Amino acid sequence: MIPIIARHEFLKLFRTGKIWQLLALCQFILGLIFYWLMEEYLFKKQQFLLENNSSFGITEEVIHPLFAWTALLFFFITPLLATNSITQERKSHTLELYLIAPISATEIVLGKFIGVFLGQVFLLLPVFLMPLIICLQDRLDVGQLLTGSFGLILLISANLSIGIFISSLAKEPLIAALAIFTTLILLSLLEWMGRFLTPSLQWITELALLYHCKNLLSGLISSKDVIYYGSLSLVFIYFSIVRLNKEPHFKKKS
Amino acid sequence: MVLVGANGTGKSTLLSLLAGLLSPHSGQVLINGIDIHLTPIIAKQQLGFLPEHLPLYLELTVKEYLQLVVKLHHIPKSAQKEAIENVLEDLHLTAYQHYLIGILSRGLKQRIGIAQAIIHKPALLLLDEPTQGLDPSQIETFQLLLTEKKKNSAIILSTHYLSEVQMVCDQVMQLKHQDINSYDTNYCSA
Repeated sequence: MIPIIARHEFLKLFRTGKIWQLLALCQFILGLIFYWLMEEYLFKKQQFLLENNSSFGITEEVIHPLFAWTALLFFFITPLLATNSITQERKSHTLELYLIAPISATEIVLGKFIGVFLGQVFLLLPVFLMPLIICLQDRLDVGQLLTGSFGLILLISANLSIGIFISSLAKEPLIAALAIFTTLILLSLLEWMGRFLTPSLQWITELALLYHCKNLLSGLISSKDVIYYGSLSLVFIYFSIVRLNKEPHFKKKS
Repeated sequence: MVLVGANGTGKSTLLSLLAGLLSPHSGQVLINGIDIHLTPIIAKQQLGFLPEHLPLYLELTVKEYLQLVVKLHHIPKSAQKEAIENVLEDLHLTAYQHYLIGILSRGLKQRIGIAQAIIHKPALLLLDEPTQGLDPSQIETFQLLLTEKKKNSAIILSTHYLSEVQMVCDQVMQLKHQDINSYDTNYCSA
């Protein structure tokens, strides 16, 4: 049942046209950023060659910041897609089609999660293709490229699970989207808060969403980072299942 | 059984409770002896529900929507095509099967809603104001369909129309002030 729901959720994004609008937006913004980063890189490289007569890393100078910008952009995209999956469906009563069918809340949540996750990966594909343009002229650090891509996928998975949980709580799509966006930003600001915390509380910074992406974007795979994103995704998927199981208790009488 | 009563007396709430969309403050909802809140998956296999607000994906075609519904109701792959064709024929929707639901009229949407409720041949059919938005000829067709369905399924429907009360008239429950005002098991003969 999970693949059926996931397939429907994924195809729904294309049918409503949302994915194409988001894809156009992503490509426009990230294309501009990519162009700006390349220009900066070429300018720096010219200076560097004049000074040292040697090349320096294009992956670190262009791809790393491009992926970091992509991670930030998905802080805006994830709330839109996550809200669409549950809150919007609850409002338009299409969620009832699942709730009256003989399927479990686990199947509904996992199906929706996988469908929207694949939609987000589809949005990321052109971003992963941008570095290929560089391959025509320069050498890329393929290892860093792959770990960076892996990091982005882990990050959007964790973001989405948080989004789906908040979406399962809210009744109004706009409120859900704002709540998801605010939560993602607050979870990222934990790292910045570290400056004001005592050394004994510094562990809080390690709970920040983007903190664990840094190593991966730099080409380092740490089990700590993978476990963080994996467990965050699992915990919020579990919370969403619990919430959806209690749907009849929360639903307002018509 | 027909649920009758003025607006706000709790007909839709009662049907939502029976379908497991709402949870009772006290008591149990048993479908063929199975508690819908303790074992919802088993109980819902025997249930077809047409809610007050139609659960339709407007961006899908009628056929695509019904293909999703048959999968959600675990109808075997070999029987899916036949189930869809039968329900399209029963509700006179065959000509519209490739149309997007979003562009169809209220009456056609209502028929698609009915189709999703009956496609898996449930033992218990819950219909919340099923003839809402249907024209007189469609109501007549629907009444004939319901008479046919009555042979194999228990039907509980809520309505404001006396003709529907007479159509599925084994038992009538009148609701008043969110409570059962009267319960008549011999409505037709009365």
